[in-house]
Amino acid sequence: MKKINELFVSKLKVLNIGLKDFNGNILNSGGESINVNWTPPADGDPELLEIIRKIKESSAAGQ
Amino acid sequence: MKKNIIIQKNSYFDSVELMKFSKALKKLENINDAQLIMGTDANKKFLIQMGLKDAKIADAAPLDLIIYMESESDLSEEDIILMVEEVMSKTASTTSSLYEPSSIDGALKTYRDMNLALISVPGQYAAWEALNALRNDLHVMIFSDNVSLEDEIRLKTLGKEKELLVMGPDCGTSIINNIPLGFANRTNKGGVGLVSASGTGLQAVTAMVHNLGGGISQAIGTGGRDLSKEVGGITMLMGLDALMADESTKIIVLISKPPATEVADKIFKRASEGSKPVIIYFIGENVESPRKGDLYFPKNLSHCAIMAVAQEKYGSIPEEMLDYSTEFRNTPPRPDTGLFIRGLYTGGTLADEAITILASNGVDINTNLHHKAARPVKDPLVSEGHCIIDLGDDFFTRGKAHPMIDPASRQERLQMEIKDPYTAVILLDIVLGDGAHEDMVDALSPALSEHGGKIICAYVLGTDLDIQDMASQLTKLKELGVFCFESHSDMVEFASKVVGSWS
Repeated sequence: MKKINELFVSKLKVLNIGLKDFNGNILNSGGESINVNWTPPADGDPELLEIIRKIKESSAAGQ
Repeated sequence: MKKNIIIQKNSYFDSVELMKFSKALKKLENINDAQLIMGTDANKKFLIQMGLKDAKIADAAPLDLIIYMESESDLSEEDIILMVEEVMSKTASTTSSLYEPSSIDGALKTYRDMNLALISVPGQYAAWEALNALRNDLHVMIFSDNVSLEDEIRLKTLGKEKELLVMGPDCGTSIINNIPLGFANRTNKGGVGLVSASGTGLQAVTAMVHNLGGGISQAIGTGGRDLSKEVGGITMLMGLDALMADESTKIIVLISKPPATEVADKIFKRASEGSKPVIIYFIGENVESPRKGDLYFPKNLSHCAIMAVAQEKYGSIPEEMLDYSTEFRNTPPRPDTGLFIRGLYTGGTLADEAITILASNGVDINTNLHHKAARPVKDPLVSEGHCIIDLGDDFFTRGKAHPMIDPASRQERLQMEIKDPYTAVILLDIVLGDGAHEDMVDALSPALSEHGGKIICAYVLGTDLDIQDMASQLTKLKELGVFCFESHSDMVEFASKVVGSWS
């Protein structure tokens, strides 16, 4: 569990993807957080998302 | 009254931001109702169920913002848009940086040393983002629910291969390096490490450890399905190993609903092989003995915290602390009317624990939860006999914010229970901390101030470091005549005693 124990002794640096409130809460309690200005991929179209997912999966598998 | 529906194309906001905007708009003069909602299929269905049938709504795309407003006066579309923009600029969450990347990959090009991704996007996108985070060597906390079991197994298996934590999906709370993530209470740093498959269970124990003068090293949420046969406790076992190896952690607390037998066996084996004492609380499971070697089995969440602080502060858990019982010196009060206990909970684990305690005291319980010691209610909207209701259940939260954030569903139900002549005692959980409502007591006070002779009890889950100011929440409750408790099991034992005093 080396990487988890490394995390425990490092400064926590969060990428916040989703609810913006969580980003503010981390900052307010002295943490470091960068908010990702997230919007649903593929314009929120589930069918298009599935196609992109399959393309990404096959390219990752081929790496 | 004038009703308006306006669609703003390509204008995405998250659900909590939209709830805040809607709430602020409703407070404006002459505005009777306001709903800001994204044009997803589920949301459009919800609006239709509310009786809003409009071609504009039907045509809205998932990234379009639907603005619905009911006003006393005749407002133009321009007036409404200006009003909405003004509210948004005043109430939007602040962010730290001027540049906000639009993706994980984009963010990591600029901020190379990030180490954890906190993901709270709608469920159908969460696995996608989590997979991307893991591939980029980030530990992950997935707050989102509605992630498939297959995706959870896939993500956790990859996390295990890469030695990265995958907290969740449906992980409401964690505290990593003293930073609260999601819905969490602010606590002092110390030597108590936790791994929990229950969100409010983790909050209740971390808050009580802090209130008893102890502190938290790490509190790792796993998500509710981690200890199922299918997932196999991957995150709990990884968290347990990491806490065993962590120098700051002096004692480990594990919390879950009863796990699959084979998973429980693995956890007992791993915990007993380690060099640190481990407190294991599987909620609702019978405890044969409070101690087996260095493993401790507490009776309830409060008992977990008491044992943990004793070990942290004094290096051992004294014999007399192996048992936990609540004693009330005074004669229990009697309500003016009624016969039954009615629990209106926002935390599922607390509702679960209430049933366990009441059932063990011989009280027959009805509930909307699945619990082996209680009968299911016919209709979650109507209480029967002694009744414990989890208002955070999907039945109540479909299309709405969780009752820890939005008190509307509990305000309504509380008024109903107070009016019911069969209600004698009402149990409430007031959960404070990051993510929770800014002043729950104030929101419930109109109903509480007209309690009609019922005995109202509140368990306040929080710390003095929480933004809501625990002391003022307790004072306000006491002024309203509410019996206040800082231990959940004490509140439930008190309720048992009240109903037991006349049966």
